[in-house]
Amino acid sequence: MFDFLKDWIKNIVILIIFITMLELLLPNSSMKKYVNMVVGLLLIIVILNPLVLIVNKNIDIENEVFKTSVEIDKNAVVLTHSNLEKTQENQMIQVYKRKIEQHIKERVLHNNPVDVKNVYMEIDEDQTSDNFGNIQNLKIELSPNVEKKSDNENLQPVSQILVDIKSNKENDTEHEQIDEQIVNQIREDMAEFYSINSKNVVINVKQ
Amino acid sequence: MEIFKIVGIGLIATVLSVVLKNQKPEISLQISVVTGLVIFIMIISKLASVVELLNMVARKIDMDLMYLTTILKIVGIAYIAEFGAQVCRDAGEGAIASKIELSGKILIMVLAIPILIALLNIILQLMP
Repeated sequence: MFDFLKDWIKNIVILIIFITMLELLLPNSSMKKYVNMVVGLLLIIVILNPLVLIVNKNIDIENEVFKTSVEIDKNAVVLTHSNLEKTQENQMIQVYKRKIEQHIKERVLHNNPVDVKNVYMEIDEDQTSDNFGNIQNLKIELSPNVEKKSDNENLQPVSQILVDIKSNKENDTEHEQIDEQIVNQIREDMAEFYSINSKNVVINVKQ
Repeated sequence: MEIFKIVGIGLIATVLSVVLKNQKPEISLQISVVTGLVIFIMIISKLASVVELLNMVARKIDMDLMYLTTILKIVGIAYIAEFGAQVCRDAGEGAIASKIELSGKILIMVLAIPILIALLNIILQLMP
């Protein structure tokens, strides 16, 4: 009993001396309030400690503190984890879009004598819906086939500049006409293959 | 004598900063920030030895180490947050300084909440 009292008083006295030392060390600022609060809590715990032991021997204060701090850490980890999941989903959708873009480009290039400049699309990004991953809107920008143009340019001599421009213009209009015919074909092909409403497939021809 | 060094550095930096203030205010600002850092680094080794000594004494007298580490962590957070906030305030950025102080307070609260909850549990168990 006497030892127990001695330990208790010793703990309290040492803690108080410690606290006064630390208050000297502390910068005098608004932080002091918070530090004082925590230190006061610790002092209360040290004072209450033997009373708790008398009433209930099973309780372990350190254990309690540890439990709650683990809980806080766990919550923090869960938060960062959900952020990670979100970024992962975004990356997945981006990769998916890029693959579809490539596929569309290849398909159009393979079937038609045109160049694909850009492919824009909107897909259903809601993972819970049944249509997740379906293409909602598709916009394709086409340009006349570059290879033919360059062939034409190579054929014509450099000296005849005026004629050159005219012939180029004629060629361009020809290509445009061809594209106008092809556009419908591409649109139907895309609408059928990706099961999109053909109203949502927009195809532009760029010069 | 460490104090002479520190006071010397402080005085020289103050004179330089005051001289430069009219011509180039941005340089004088940098001088004050760097001087603060240098003085802090010089003094932090002494502070570390004091903290180490306190730690040693606590281990010798067999106090619960949990309390001590918590207190020391809190004091360290208070110190570093205070220093960063002061540097920012010297540079005229009161807003950033108050954000640093806010984050320091939050980190202290994170350390304090487990103790608070443990205390609450104890009090609840004392009253059956």
